[in-house]
Amino acid sequence: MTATLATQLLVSGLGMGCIFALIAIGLTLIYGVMNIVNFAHGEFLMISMYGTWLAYSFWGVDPVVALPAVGALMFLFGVLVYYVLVRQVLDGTMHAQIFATFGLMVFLQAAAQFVFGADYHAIDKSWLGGVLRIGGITLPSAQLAAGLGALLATLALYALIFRTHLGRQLRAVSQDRTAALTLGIDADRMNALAWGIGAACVGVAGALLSSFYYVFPRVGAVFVLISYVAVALGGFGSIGGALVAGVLIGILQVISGFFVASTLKFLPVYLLYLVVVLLRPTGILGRQ
Amino acid sequence: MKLLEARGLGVAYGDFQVLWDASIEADKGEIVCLLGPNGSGKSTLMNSLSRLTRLTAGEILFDGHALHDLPPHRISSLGLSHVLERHRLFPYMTVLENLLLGAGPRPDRARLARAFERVYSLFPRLKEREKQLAHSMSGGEQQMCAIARGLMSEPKLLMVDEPFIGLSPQLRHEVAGALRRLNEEGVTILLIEQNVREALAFAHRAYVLRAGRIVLAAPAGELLAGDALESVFFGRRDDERLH
Ligand SMILES: Nc1ncnc2c1ncn2[C@@H]1O[C@H](COP(=O)(O)OP(=O)(O)OP(=O)(O)O)[C@@H](O)[C@H]1O
Ligand SMILES: [Mg+2]
Repeated sequence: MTATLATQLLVSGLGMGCIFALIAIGLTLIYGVMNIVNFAHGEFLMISMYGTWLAYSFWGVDPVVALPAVGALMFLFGVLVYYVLVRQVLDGTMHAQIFATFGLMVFLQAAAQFVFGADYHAIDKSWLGGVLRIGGITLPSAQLAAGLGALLATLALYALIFRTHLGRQLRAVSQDRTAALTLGIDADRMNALAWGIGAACVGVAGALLSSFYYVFPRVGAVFVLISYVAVALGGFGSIGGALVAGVLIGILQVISGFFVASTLKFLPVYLLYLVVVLLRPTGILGRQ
Repeated sequence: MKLLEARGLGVAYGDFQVLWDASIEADKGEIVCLLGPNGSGKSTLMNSLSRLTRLTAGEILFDGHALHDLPPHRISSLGLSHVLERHRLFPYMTVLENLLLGAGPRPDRARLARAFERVYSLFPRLKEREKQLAHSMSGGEQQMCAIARGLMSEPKLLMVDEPFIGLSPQLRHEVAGALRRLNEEGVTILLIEQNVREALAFAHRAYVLRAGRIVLAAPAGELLAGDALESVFFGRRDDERLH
């Protein structure tokens, strides 16, 4: 194997890994703050991708320009979903909570199918299209930019959660809701914020992905299944764990896709997951 | 002057009533203690004051505010701080972060500096442990940190649920000393304590709970002298005798 090829695989793996990580962090944040798994997370991603694609095909807005708007709109959408749906089942049974977000997933998928049909759409002339040549290495620039964008978004998120007072309050609610309440933290608002940020994560990921990936009603499943694995692998509720696991998965799937077969590229990922879960059920960075 | 006045409080968990018609008050500058056997409803009563448990009846007046209508996160900024049973620190945050969170959602700089100076002078060893994760400290240090966190909002009334439990005599002495000093600075204290003699030596007044009702309320000195307490902790009510 040449150094060129190795670099190409590594860069592409890192790029995909950062995107997986961003999606996974959104998922783990919601779970960490209120112990609810957002089964519609993939559909949030799908909506963001359709949004980006619509902006491009109707108004000619490039995904790069649409990105901040899609992120902000998804934030609002996440907050809305929290207040309209999730909040109603917070005191309900676990079944009620599972069916609430599972139902939302089914509904959003069916709605997309109804409105857009089952066709695959693509953004073919993004500013980020084409390839980048550095030395002898050829890299698809859209993928590279997406990876870079996801990395930046992840770092910004990390700073928000671990370096600001707001993030500290989010973590407080996640670690001990009752104690947080006694200290004047409005746990309900923190829940809404977690849904907003969680949805904004996939908003950004969706805008980045749509510059090089097809958009179709079930596209969410492709990425989110892997992100569930990243969340479990990293440890439920662990932001750092989701980041590490996401990047690890990205590299692993690119390498196995190249050396084994692209249809089997996720096999080693699930194998790794099985091994980690058997040896360390709380995940890489998870807590007892 | 009355700082806290709660009347006729009732609490139920689901259909299961655990507190009936509880009325308690605290004057400014007092140390008041809640006593009673395990499961008698001491924590439930305290939690209802900080609005963590829903009331089925009653009203709570604190420093001119009607607490019974408020959600729990609105309480601490009014000057009522509640240190929960078993300290309940944020385990994966440092001592410093725990204390910062105690200062409320938008602490201003001057107040923050004042509050830190106060809690570090009360518990000097917390300053040494600033960067340590809360869960990795000893039980006694965690209890101190919890009280310190409760003080960061500069409360008028500090409620502490069993601050001495599991502490060595040395640490117990230290924590009691800190609470006494706070009281001398003008902080009113409501605490729960299992050890009757210790509590009564410490507090000015006490309420005794049994099976969800307040059965005695008296100055500490009277309770220590009389034998009324014996019957609460060891005696049986008439309706519990065989018949
Ligand atoms: N969340 C809850 N759900 C249902 N029942 C509860 C709950 N919390 C407390 N109880 C019940 O309410 C009663 C009073 O409990 P509480 O914790 O107030 O007692 P306590 O006097 O503080 O006891 P201890 O000295 O053991 O701390 C008990 O019978 C307890 O089982
Ligand atoms: Mg108790």
